[in-house]
Amino acid sequence: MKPPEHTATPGNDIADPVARPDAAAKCAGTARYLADLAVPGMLHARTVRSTRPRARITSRRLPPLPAGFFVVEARDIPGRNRIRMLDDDWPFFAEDIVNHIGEPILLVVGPEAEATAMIASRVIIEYEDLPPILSLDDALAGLAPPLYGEDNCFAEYSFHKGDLPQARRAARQMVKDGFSTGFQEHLYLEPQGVLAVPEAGRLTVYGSMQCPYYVKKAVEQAVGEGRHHVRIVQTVTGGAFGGKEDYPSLLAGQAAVAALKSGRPVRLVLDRTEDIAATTKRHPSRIDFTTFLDENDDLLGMDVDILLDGGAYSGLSSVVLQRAMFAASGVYRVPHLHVHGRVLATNQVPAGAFRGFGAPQAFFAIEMHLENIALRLGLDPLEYKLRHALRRGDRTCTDGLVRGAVRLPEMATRLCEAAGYPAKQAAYTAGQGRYRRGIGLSLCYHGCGFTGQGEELIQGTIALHKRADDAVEIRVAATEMGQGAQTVLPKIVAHSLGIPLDQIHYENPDTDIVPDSGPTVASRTTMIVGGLLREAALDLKRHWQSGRVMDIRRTYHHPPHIHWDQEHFRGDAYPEYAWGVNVVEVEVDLLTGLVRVIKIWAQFDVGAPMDERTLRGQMEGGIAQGLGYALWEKLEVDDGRVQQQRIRDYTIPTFMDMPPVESGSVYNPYEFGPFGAKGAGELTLVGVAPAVAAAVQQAIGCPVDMIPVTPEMILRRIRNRKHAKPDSEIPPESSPRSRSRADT
Amino acid sequence: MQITFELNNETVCLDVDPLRPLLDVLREELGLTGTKRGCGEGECGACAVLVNDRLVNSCLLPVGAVVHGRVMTIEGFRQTGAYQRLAEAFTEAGAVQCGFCTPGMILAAAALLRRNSQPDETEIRAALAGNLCRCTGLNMIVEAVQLAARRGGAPW
Amino acid sequence: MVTAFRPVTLNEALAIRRTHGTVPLAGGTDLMAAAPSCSPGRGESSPSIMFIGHLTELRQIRMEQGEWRLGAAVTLADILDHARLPAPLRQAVADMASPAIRNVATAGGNICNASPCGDTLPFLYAQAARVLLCDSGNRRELPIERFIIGPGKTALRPDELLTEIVFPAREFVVHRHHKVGARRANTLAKLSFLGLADMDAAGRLSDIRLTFGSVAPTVIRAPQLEQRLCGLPLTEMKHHIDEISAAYDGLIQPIDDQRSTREYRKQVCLNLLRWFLEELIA
Repeated sequence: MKPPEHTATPGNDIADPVARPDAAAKCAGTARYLADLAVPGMLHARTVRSTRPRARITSRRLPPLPAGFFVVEARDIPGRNRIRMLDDDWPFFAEDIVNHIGEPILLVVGPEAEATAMIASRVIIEYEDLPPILSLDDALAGLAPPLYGEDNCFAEYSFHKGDLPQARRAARQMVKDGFSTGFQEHLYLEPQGVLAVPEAGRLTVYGSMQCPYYVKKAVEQAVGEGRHHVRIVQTVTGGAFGGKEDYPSLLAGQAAVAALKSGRPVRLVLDRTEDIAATTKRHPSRIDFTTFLDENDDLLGMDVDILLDGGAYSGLSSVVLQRAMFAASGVYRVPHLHVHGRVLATNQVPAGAFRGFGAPQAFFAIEMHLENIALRLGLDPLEYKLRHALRRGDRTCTDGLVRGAVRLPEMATRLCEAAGYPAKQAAYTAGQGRYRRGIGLSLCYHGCGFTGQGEELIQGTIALHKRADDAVEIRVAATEMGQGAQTVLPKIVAHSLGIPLDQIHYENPDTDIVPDSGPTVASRTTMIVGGLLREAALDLKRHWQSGRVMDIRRTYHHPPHIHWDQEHFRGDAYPEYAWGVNVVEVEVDLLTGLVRVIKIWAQFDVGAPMDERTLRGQMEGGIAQGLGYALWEKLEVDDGRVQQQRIRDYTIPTFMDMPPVESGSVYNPYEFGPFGAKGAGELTLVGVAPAVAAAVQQAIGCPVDMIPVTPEMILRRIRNRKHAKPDSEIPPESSPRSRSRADT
Repeated sequence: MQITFELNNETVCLDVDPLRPLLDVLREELGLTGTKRGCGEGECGACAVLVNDRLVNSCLLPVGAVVHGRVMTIEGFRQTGAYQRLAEAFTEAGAVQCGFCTPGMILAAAALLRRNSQPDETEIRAALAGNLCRCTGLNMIVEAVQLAARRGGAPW
Repeated sequence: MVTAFRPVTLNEALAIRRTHGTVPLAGGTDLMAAAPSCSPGRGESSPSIMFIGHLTELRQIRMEQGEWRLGAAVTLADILDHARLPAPLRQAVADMASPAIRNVATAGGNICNASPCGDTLPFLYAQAARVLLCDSGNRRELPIERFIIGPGKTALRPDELLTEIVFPAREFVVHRHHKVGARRANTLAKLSFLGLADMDAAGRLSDIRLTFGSVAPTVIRAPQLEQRLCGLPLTEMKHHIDEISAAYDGLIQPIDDQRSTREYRKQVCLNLLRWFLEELIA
């Protein structure tokens, strides 16, 4: 392993790594995570969950409850039994209907954790089953009554660019392709948990979370608007990755209601099995392309259809779909485009936010599609992709302007040299023997900040508080969840003010103290929140008076050149883009279908790194999650039940699986980002799966159109090819041709 | 059942259910919360402690099995020079992100270095294979152990 | 609170076993994982248990009269650390679980758990291992394949303890062990294959053992098929590969589960078998 390559950041010493402020306590085991908090008189809660995918609850029978034990259910909610999110369909507790296995029905609460669990296991719920929608196919068939609205569709959108019908008429060739992706589980090491503490007129909820103000609004709705002063405090958070964006709102609402009912603190910590089985997942997808090529084999038009599986409740699905749609044509110039997308409801665990937020599905599909087009044309995939890659001044899929320089060509060229891509690409196609090598490449971007109108709606607000001792407190709702916010944001403030880092204080957010700077999501923390902090710090510096208390606030507005039409999905879907290139080399054992990843090379344009080591942590960590998504992290839901409910069965990469990673970044500052920074957190995951899949596809000489690429699928593909009739055999030079999904 | 063992160099004597996992005894009876519960099934390594100098998942170890044994948790280990070395190396190498795996990871590294003060990369990967980390991508943790081993100077 | 015994000697343990029929717990990694503390009702329904992992009588690794004798409470880590034990056994153990589990889990536990995916079992079947079973008065030996009756079921009587595992200290010139799991560590086998073979001076196959794990209720070994190969000149083996492969095809009856598919398990078993035989020829 080489140290991160970092190129040309002239005079940008903010990038020099500093010691993480939270490392010492985390190493020593003194950092206090939610489950480490115990307050006097605290009660423990345990959830009773639905065992049916779709049913009417006909009765519930409780075992005898010892003194001090009680239950909390829908009718105990003083406010509204709906989690406040984008929509209004998701209850804290099921009422008469359950919509997925694992859905909370009630809490058993009591003074001892084990006894509480035992009582919960003895609650008997009786059901009358209703016809369930157990898969996307069920949803498409439409045989069961809709789960959501009239059409069972959480969201449906489409947008156009250019004139696709005309491109269709003018095209010389048409290429069709279809891809699918599976669920992915976050598997943050710290399970979800909250602790609700009632005090006179006030309710404090502590929790492992990304978005304190989401939780605050959810709790306020649960306990009744205006009836209690609700305060949310984030505790040290042991990983999140999007999984603690939406779900903590549910847990906090439940615990808050239990705390109000009992007048005592209530702690609700999920077991790992509950956490895997019941909390949100990455949306499974099906993405189909019909692409039109002109007489020069160039991309002329593209018709993309995206279908996402949203699970039982809408959650954040509509925005996930939007991000997927805005990534549908990848980093490519497509003059004529139509993108249609839907999220359907199924009686499965709800899908939600997960690092990448729709983009990993879309980039897997578009990158494999371009790869396949190039191979079919007998062209080098890299050359073909770069030929169509967006450049400064081009128009994005939504007709936004690419304002910044796009450095993909040099990033890709440098990476391919380091990886020996051209020679390997040529050599591996004719592999022999039991072990076959393959090399794959992907290009990707990630829109930084909220999708579409999000930033304008949220209007994130930050504050700096200068104390009399001239120390400066950062007051933002942005959370440290491992990614390094507490390292990066203080550096931005310290460098802006020109004062030592140890004069900057940044505690875990407490909504009684910090304004709503927005959720810690969407690769927005450094660029948006950090950008506001830099502006505020510069302002503070101008007015700095030693020994005086000073407060500065700033609210985000897009730079004036950003325009967005939410109704037609036209304009700048994001204020700026971060870019990435991944190259992956694999070796496949044809006897077992096992894939060994030899090495990964990656280059990213995140504007400017705010801390080299923190950035490398994001690169390495995102790549590992992307690799798991591509190869190992199989999560199946059969008859509504998550099949892999234990860590041993849901297999994220171990030390033995991780290949060496050679990652680096290019300096390409964004004018409106702090010190030139753009987003980095999600980008690093987005492009891994297609590079892996392309490499496997080359190694086995069979199409790979779904992830995770399991050994079972690999052997099936190889066997089907052997048994295929000669006339359907794939010619070696243009091997991966689109096949229907059914050929598995 | 009366259970006596040595915990962080001090003798403890408890009256507990001998089948209770050591993890629960540490966290709930003794308030030692540096040992984390990630799964409760021996699959993640967040609860790793040293028993008689060997790495053990405390969630799978009934406390009755440590009778007369020596248990070292992060609370005890952090008093040592070996810990200082490892914590420095973890911090410098970027091996700490969310931190939930970190105490177990440091103890896994210590257990390795105690038996093999100059491990190669393969040996490090094998020794840490039962400790999951979802943030760092793992390679930076390997580098941390290499860094600590290279600097040496600690009585592992 | 569950009743627990902690005998000081093996004899005491056997006496307790006779009077109380208590559940023996050596490492406990499987027992505890099956009943984590969070799972309701553990304390109430558990029968009494007896800790045996500390008993020195059960922690010996010895070679006697050309046979290895492993105490039941020898840990997997002890096996790995014992450089003279056969390589295929140590390799199977190295591929098991994780270091922290191997430091606790025991040789006897992997047998008594009688899981279809017990990782040491293919080796023990291939080596025709025997288990020594003792009660407070008697001892008997059973071949491993008669001790393990089915998933989670053994021939252990309520008053007995498995005390030793015995197998010939016999090394094979060729040994190939493949554990196929979802990842490279910390995983359960989707299937496993172990092939052992010896050749004589004339280039004939003098001994061959072929075992398959995780693809049937118990490990698959078919001595009658192995016998058909023994004595064959390697040069002739290629004429028999199809026939042997077809015979194993009939024996290997895996299931579909969340870890893998029946089809995959069978195909990979046959692929690895064929590869092993072809490698012998080459």
